[in-house]
Amino acid sequence: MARCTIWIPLVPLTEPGRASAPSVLLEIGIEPGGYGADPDTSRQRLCGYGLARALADAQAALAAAGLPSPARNWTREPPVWHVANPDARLSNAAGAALGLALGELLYDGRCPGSRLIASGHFLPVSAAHGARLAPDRRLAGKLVAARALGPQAAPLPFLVPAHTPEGIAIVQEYAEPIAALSALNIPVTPVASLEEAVAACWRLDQDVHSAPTSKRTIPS
Amino acid sequence: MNPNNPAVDREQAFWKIVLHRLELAASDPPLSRREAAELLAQLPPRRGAETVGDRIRRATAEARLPQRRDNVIYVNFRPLIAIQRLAADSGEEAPLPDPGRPLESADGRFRLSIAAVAGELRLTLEALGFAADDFAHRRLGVAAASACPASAMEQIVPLGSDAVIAQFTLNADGDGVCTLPDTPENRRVLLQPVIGLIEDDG
Repeated sequence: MARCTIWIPLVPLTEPGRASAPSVLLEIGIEPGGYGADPDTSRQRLCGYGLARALADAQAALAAAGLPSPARNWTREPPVWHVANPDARLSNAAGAALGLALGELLYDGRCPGSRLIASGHFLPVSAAHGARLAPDRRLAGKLVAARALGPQAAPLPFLVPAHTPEGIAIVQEYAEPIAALSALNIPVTPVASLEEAVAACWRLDQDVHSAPTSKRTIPS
Repeated sequence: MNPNNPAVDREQAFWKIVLHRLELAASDPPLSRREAAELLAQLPPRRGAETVGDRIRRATAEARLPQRRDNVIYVNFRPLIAIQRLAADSGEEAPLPDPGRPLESADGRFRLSIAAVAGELRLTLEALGFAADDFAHRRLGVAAASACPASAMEQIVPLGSDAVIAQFTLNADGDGVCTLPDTPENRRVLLQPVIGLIEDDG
């Protein structure tokens, strides 16, 4: 259980057609808190930073997807959550739900890797449909915000809902900014649900680890 | 100065005077008394110890504002500060703030809480700290940022009463409550609300 970092893009809310302030990335860290740590204390700290609703949505989505948090026991250090750059202007955190849910899974090792960017909020969760993601209206600003992280040595997945509210595929609608992020080694990965997001993370991880192996097999 | 060559000094001084006079000749002649009177007549009435420069700047800012329409009741709205909101939201077009998450102005003078209750939006405005005394018993309003250009901050803007979506008369503690219909238009205004003082005419 190593330190994990997730970034949540935040966009300024303005009336349509108005110039706005630049987007920012909220950085959330999850660290092993020692065996005596109380996980609820750090979750309450997240609530203080305006992430209460997103946290509740994330817990509900994890339960609906059949991925609830493991029971507390002596062999598992409870996670401690903290926000590296809290922003008092954050007024609506619904879109942080996907990131927080994946943060739980990253920490437990049920999702590979230790860093990712995620944006998306869940449609009303149900046992029948699992944890599906709502389309994103403000993805353009979020894709721009992710550029602030700069070029990455290892791939840094950016998970986003697969479609716009009009039903257009994200890869089609935002081809240019997605290509710009790919050049920074930030692959934008459209997903339709939390389950698909976890599967996509495993796939990306497999690609990263299989790449050197395949190089070795190429005959010289 | 060149003490070894006074003739060069004199020549330099002469050309300085020539250049200065040429610059004077190139500038506009000063206003005549009649022209100054005409300019002052165009300006809005003077406020307190306002300088001519400030009056011209105020008139220019007012001229940039949208023209008044007939059959609309106007209020004198003095924008104080716009509240910038950030969101990770991805679904709704005009999301409300999360419950229990009031909006605060960057200068720390105001807190605006918004709650959706039974098809209505309940807005609670609190003036904080010294602002509570400054704005107690005064009338404040919330308008859209699009109605108040950034250049018009702290200046009176005549706004249609429909542009000011909420009006509060603050109590002695600097608190006020207002209820308005939960419509998409009102929600859009609350994406970037501007808090301002509503001033009486005259």
